Amino acid sequence: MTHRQIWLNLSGLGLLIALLGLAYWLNTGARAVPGLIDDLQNGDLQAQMLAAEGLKEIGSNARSAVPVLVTVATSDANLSLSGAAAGALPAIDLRAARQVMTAWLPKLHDPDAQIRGYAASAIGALGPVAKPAPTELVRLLSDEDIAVRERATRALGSIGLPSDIVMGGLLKALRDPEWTVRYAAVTQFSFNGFSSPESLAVLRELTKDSNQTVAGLAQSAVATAERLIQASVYSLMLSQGMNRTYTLHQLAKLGPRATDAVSGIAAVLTAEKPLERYLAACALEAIGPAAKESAPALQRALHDTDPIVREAALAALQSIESKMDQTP
Amino acid sequence: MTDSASTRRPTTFTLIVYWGCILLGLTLPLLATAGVDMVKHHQSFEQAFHQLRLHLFAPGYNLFLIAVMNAVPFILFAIFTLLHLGLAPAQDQQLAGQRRAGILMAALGLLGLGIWTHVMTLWYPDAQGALAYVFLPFVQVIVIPISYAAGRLLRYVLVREQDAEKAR
Repeated sequence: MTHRQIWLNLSGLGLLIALLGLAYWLNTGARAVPGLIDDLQNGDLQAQMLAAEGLKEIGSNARSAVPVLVTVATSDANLSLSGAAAGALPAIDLRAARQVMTAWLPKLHDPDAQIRGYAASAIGALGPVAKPAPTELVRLLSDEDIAVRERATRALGSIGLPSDIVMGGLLKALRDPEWTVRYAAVTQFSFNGFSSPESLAVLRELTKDSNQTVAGLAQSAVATAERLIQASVYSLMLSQGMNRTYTLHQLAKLGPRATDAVSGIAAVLTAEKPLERYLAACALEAIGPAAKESAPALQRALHDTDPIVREAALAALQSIESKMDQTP
Repeated sequence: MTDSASTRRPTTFTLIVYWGCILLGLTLPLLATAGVDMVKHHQSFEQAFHQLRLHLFAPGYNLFLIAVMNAVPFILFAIFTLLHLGLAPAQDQQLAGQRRAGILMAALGLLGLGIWTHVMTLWYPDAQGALAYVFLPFVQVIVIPISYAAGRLLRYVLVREQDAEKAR
């Protein structure tokens, strides 16, 4: 082969690599949004679910998809799809996520049990952004319908905040007469980082549950509670930028036990993603007076561009100050 | 004319291996995915193609990135092939033959390992299955020189046996 032939073939390879790069660039990030919006509306459930996931991954650059996502998330045509659409919204637009929560909240009192269950699941899919909802969800734990109680339990676990209300609800669910509800509650202690001395005592009792599935999972939950991940680990994860959303959510659940992480959490108040700033404010609110050093950062967050973040910052400041006033 | 044919044939062989490796490296994971969908999940060709399109850039699946990752050792091998065979001295037929045998064996090794890994990962799905896609390119880079050496050795043994038979 001549050198010219070799160079020609290498150039062909270079061109192919450039084309592949272009294809990737065109199909990812904000450029993929119009296609994903089309997929979300096309009636093919699998394509719709994947589109919702894709939009969630893109985050705030997918803002143009918010109207469609809100429509899908507030529709009760398909529970999985509305859950996927609701789950995508917090990463894109906190206000829209709250709008979905507000739309579903009245349906928690719907006479149709299926609609009540749907509402609980859709609100749960919003995660910690649905922080104002747990009081209503806890009421559903007394619902006569088993599926509604189970979905309310899972929704509480997914929202996780405010931790005292959620913990109260989960403790109630642990004592539910129906095993599927108890199982849903134990799952939260086993895998979602919930723990308290009171829950540990109940979980120990549940290791002797008449239902073997619940008993087995309760053993795992007890083991998890006995080697609970410390705030310092989450603090390290936060400093290394590892899955900030999850880390901040876990720190918020820890409440005052996360005091060591205050400076790291306060630093996130200026993060680019509104969801991270919101969760940082929620975590500081949960820590309370011990987060006093974060007050200046929270004061600045009162001027945040996102109203939900501003609201969370105000709640955090109130929590720090009001609890400090109560301290002798 | 004979001279022209004798130089054209190795060039054609080189180009077939070069572009074949690049294209197969890129499409192998996609072909394996569609193939498993059709054979194991009894999907039609259209359904399998639709699944492929949906999952090409979908988070958590990203078949496009898997294809690109899979193509890396194939592309490295293709460049090696182009330079190794393309720059081989045309007069030395024995050396060229040995190199072709090595390249052919290495290409088969790469392909065989790739097909087996992709099909098995998809056929027996597992939570840790995605690790196979991460480690496969590294294993393939190791396989290239080993199978290349095996190819050359095989050719050497076969030629020696042929020569011994001729001498007899």
